[in-house]
Amino acid sequence: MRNALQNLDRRVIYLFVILAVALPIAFQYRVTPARLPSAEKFYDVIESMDPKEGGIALVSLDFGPNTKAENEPQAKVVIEHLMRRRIPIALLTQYALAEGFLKSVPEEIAADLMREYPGEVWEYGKDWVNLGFRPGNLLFVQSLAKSKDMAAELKRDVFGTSLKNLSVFRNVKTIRDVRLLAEFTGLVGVFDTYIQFFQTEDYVPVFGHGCTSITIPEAYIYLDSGQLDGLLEGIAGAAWYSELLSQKFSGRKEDSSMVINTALGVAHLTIIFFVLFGNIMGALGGRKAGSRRVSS
Amino acid sequence: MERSFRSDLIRLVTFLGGVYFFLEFILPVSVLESVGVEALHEDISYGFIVFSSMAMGLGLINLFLVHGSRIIFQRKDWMYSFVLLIGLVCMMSSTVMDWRGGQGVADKARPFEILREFSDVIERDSTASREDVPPLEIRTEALRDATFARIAELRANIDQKTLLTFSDQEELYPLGETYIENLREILSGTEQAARDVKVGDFSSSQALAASLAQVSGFIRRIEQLNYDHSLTKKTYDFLYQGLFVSLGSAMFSLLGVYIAAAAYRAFRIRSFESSLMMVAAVLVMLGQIPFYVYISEDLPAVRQWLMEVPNSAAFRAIRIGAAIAGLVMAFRMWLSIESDSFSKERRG
Amino acid sequence: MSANAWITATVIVGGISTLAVYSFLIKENPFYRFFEHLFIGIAAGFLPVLTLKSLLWPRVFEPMLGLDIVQFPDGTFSGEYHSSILLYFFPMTFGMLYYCIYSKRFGWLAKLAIGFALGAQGGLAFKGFFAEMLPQLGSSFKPLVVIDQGGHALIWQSLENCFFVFTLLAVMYYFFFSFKRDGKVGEVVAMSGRWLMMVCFGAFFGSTVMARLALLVERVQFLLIDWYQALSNILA
Repeated sequence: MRNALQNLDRRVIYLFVILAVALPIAFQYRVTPARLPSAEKFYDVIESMDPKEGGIALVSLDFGPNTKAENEPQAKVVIEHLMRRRIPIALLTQYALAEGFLKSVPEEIAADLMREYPGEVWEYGKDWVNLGFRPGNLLFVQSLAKSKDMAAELKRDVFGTSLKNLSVFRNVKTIRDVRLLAEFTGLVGVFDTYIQFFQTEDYVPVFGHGCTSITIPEAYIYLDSGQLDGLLEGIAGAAWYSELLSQKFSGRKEDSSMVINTALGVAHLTIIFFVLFGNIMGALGGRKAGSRRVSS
Repeated sequence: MERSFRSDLIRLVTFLGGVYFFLEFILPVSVLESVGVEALHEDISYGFIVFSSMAMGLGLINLFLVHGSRIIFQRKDWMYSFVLLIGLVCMMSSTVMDWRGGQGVADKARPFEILREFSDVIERDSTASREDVPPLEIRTEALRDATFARIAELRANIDQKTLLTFSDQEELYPLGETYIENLREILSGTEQAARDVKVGDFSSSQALAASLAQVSGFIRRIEQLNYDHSLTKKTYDFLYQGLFVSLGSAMFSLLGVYIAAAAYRAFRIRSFESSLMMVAAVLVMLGQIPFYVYISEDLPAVRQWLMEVPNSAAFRAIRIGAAIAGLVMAFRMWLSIESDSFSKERRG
Repeated sequence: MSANAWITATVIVGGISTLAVYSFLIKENPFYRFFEHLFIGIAAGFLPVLTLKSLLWPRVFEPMLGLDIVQFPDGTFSGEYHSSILLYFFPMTFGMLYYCIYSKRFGWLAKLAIGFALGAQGGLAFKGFFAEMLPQLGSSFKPLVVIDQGGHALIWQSLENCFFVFTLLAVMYYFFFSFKRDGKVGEVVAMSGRWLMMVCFGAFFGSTVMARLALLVERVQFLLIDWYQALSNILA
C-alpha cells in the first residue's frame, strides 16, 4: 500500500484535482467568501463617486483567455457597480487579444440591469463607450495623460464613430476628467505603465486595480504606498465585491463568482492535502525516492 | 579597437531615440512650452508608436517562412503547419471583415452625425465672428434643408423589412421594432426642431443637435442589431469565443493540474526556510478561501497581516532593487554601453 | 443556420477544443497538436489587423488621404488638410528598416531601427522610475512610534511599523553583494532578511496556486454548465 502511494501516478493526482473542482460546480455549492478589505476599498471608491460631478471612469481590460478566469469576474463586478451608479465608462485595452471582452462584458451587464429594472435603459454611447485596442503601450498612456483633448486624440470608438458625437465624451477634455482609472490585468508591464505614466505633475486619478492571484503580493506594495486606492485580489476579490453588491442591491442576479470561489476553495484544500501527503510520503520513503517516483 | 562608421551610427541613433523623452522628463513644462515642444508632444509620441508598429509584420513573415517552407517541402508534421496557417488566415480575414462590418454600422449613422456637427460648427463660427464662412442665414437654411432631406430619405425606407436585415432570430424582432418605433417618433420631433430653428437663436439649434444625436443613436442601434446577427459577426464570434478563448483558457489551465502534481512532488520541508515558506503559503491560501470559518475565524486577519506587513516590506525591497537595476540597465542601453555586441558591426 | 444553432456550435466547438487540450494530460497526441497549432495561428492573426484598424488607419492613412474631412451642407469643410500629416512617412519609412533583418547585405540597417526603439525605451525609463519609485520610497519611511490624537502611543501599530522597516532593510541588506559582510550583526540581519523573504515567497507561492487553479475552475465550469447544456439541447 505504502509502495503504491509512493509510486502514485501523476494522472491520479490530476484526476483528484479535477474532481475536487468539478463537484462543487456540478452541485452549484456556494459559501460566503472571505472578507477582503482591499476589495472593500475599491467598492467604497466607486460608492463615493457622485455621477453629477461629471467625468468618466476609464476602464482598461488588459486580459486575454490566459487570465480571463480571474480578471473577467473582477471587471464584471466593477463595471456593474459603475453602471448602477450611472457613472459613464470608457473601455479600452492595451492587449490586442482582449478586444472581444470590451464588447461582451458591458453588453451582458447592461442587459442584466435592464431585466432587473424594467423601464430603465443603459445604452451604448451614453453609459459606456468601447475605445477598442490602443497600441503603443507606455507611449500611448503618457500621451493620453498629457492630452489637452482626449476625444480628439482617441478620435473614434471601436465601431468607427467619432467620439465627439458620443455623449460619454461630451464634457471630457483632459486627464482631470478621468475620475477613476480601473485596470484589470495579469500581464507583466501593463499595470506598471499606468502607475508610472497615467498622471500629470498636479493630478493623479483615483486608481483601482484587479490583479490575478499571482501578482497579489506585488500589488500590495502599491496599496500600501497609496498609488492604488482599491484592489481586487483574484477571484476571491471579485467574489467579495459581488457579495457587497448583493448586500446593497437585493434584486441583483447572483453571478458565478461565488460558485467559482467555492470550487477554488475546495481545490486549495486539495492542494494543501497533497503538500502534506507528499511530505509524509517523502518522509516514509526517503527524500530522493519520494520526489523521483512521482515525477515519472 | 577599430570603430566602424556603422557601429557609431547605430550608437548615435540609439542615443537619439531616447533624447526626446529624457529631455521631456528633466525639463520643466514651462521650458517645453516656450520652445513649442509641449504642443507637439502628442504627435511626437504617435510618431514613435507608428514607428514601433511597423515591426508588426515581422512575426507574420517569420510564421509564413517557417511553416510555409515546412509545407512546401513536406517536412515532418507539415500538416500541423498547414493547420496553423489556415487558422492565421481565417482569423485575419474574419477580423478584417469584422472591422469593415463595424465601420458599416458607423457609416449608416454618419449623415446625421455630420448634421449635428454642422449645427455645432455654425454656433462656434458665429460666436468667433468668422468671416471666411457663408453668412449665418445661409448656413442655418442649409442645415434646415439638409435635415429635411435626410429625414425624407430615411422615412422612405423606415419599415421592418428594409431596416431589419436578419431573419433567423425572430425573438429579436420586437426589440428591432421598438427601435424603429422610437426612431419614427424622434424623426417627427427632429423635423419639428428643424422647423423651429431660428437664425441666431442657438438654443433652438442646440435642440436640433440633440434631436439629431438621438436619430443617429437609434440608427446605430438598429444597424448594430443587424450586424450582430450577420454571418460575418457569427463567424468572428465562432473563431474568437469558440476556438481562441476556449483553447487559450484550456492551455493555461493545464498549469492548475501541474501545480497539484508539483505540490505533491516538490514542496518538501527540508529546512527552516522551507518551513517558513510553507507555513506562509498555507496561511495565505486558507485565509482567502471561504472555508476558513471551519478552521479559525482569525485566518483572514492573519493572511491580511502577512500580506500587508512582511510580504509588502520584503517585496518592496526586491522591487526597489529591481527598479534601480532596471534604471541602470536603461541608462546603459541608451548610451550603448550595455549592448556593445549589438552596436558592433559583424563582418563576413 | 439559425442564430441559436451558431451559439450552440460555438459552445460545442469550445468544449471539444478544451477536451483536446486536456487530452495532453494523458499524453501528447495528434488531437492535441492539431488544436495547439490552430490556437497559435488564430492568436497570431489578431495583432496586425487590430494595429491597422486602431492605429494606422485612423491616425495615419485616413488623415493622409483626407478621408476624415467632411463637407457640410453649406459647402464648407469640417477641417483643413494638414500637410504636416505627411511627416508620418518618416517614422513609417524608418520603421520599415526592421525588415532589413532578412537581408544579408542590409541586415545592419535593422539594428538602427532596433537601436532607436531601445533608446526610446531607455529614455522613458527615467520618468517611469521616478514616478513609480518615489511614492514607494516615501511610504517606506513609516513612523516607528505611532501616537494617536490623544498623545498615547499605539503599541501594536508601532511594533508593526518597526517590523515593516526592519524587514525592508534586512531584505535589502541581504542583496548587498558589493561589499563583504563582516561581523555577527551583519550576518544576523542578512539571515533575518533571508527568512523574511521566504515568508514573502510563501505568500507568493500561495497566490500562484490560486491563480493557476482559478483557470482550471473556469474551464471545468464551462464544460459542466455551458457545454453540458449545449450537448443536452442537441441530444434532446
